[in-house]
Amino acid sequence: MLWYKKSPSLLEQLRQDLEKKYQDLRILIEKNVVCLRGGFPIIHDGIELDRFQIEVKIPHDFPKSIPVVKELGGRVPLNNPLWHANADGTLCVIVPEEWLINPQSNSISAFLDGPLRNFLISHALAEAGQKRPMGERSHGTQGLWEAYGEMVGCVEQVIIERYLKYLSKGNIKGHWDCPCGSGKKLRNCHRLKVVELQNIIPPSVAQSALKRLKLK
Amino acid sequence: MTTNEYLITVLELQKLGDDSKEMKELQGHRADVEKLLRDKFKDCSPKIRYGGSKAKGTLISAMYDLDIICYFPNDDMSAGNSLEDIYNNVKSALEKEYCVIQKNSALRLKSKDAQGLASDFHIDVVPGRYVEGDDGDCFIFQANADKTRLKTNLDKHISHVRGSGVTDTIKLLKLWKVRKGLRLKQFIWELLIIDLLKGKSSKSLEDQLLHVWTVIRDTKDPISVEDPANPNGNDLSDIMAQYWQELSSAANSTLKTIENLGWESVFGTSKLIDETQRISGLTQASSAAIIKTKPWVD
Repeated sequence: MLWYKKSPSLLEQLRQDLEKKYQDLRILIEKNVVCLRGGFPIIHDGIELDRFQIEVKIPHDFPKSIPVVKELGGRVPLNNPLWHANADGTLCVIVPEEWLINPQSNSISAFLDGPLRNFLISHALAEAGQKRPMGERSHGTQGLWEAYGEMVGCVEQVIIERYLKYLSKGNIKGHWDCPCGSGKKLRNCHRLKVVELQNIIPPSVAQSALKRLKLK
Repeated sequence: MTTNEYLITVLELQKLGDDSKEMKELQGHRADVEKLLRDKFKDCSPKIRYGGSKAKGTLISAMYDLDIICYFPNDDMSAGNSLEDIYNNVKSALEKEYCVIQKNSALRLKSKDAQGLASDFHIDVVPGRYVEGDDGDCFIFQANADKTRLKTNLDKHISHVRGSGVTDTIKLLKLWKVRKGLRLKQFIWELLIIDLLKGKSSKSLEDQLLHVWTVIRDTKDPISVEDPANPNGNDLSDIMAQYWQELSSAANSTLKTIENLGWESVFGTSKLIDETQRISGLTQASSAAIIKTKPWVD
């Protein structure tokens, strides 16, 4: 079932949020896809510092997947990793799983206020020859490892992979080997950490991360 | 500041003078394009001149694409026998220097070095052939339409817009269309505005804008407009019908916005900030972000 038919309140909330904060973003429903289109201002302390023309498509399975964004004003060169854009014009606003574990990930306006706004501020500064203030992920798989490493709190790929594999399962057994590689049983090593991570990273997100890494 | 004073300030901020950085760049590209086309088609002396908003006096800084028309004399076949040949031959000529994106009748020029930020030159070249001699009505090719040949007349379009007496309102409504991301073609939008403001050019900018939005909001069925250069052969009703609901809904929400939040929520602030302030503001906005995120690329 389409997300906005399943949860009409989400769409209504979005309408209200846009009326308050983003009056130039219009909601269009075309071929059952909810799409936001129009001007996205960067306002700080009441001053409009910049403005982008964007299109945000909300996927059918939202909030299991994140919104897909295109910049329509020709300011982001396409198919160019330096500017975080794919050939089809979609922007790589964030590693999706990083947003999916955010408690606000089921709110479209939180996505607009958070990752999208951050991306556009960062782009505007980079255009002006400034450093991206929040930094940027490495391109491709390396960027995924960085993001997933931060999510699970380690840097070694083999360990990140083990954590993600454990987290992708519903139940974790104490007699399993600890993902940290100590050789100890999980119950005698990082069990608490894994339980804490389970509260943050649901199995579906861990599965999605493994799929993106092509490890599943 | 009254609403009209505010709207005049918005227009001032949208001015793109010939000495502006953007226009100088565009004029430089235009000179290169013209030279390239004249060298390639030196035997047939095409007429190359500005079309679009630059010629009509409705250019704004929020949307400053430049149309360059390249029309060939009627009796010269050296640029191509058919309109499609002309379109393709002009495209091939431009491809020597540019990455050319095919649009319906125009050819969009981008840098071959598509990696850079300035990859889009904001230039559309529109090839065509005069119906008679080397002036007046012209045929252009339509790549994506059932009818591949469309009669048009740049001078009639220019005089229709320039002579309307409402070019300032057209500029403001173009800005509104850009800010709202509305997809109706600018050419048709201008025709609609001019029709709706017939006999109202002496009214204030505020009254004109409110009139246009109110009529669009309150008119259920799409309003038909006529192409002054081709009243019988260029049916615009399908395109208008396609985007009418979008236009009407945007007009409705804009009227509500003015009522609830005021005009600055429609056209933005009337204060100009300099680049240093802008960068400083963006940096502060980034620091103030509650959630920190990093871009990535697949």
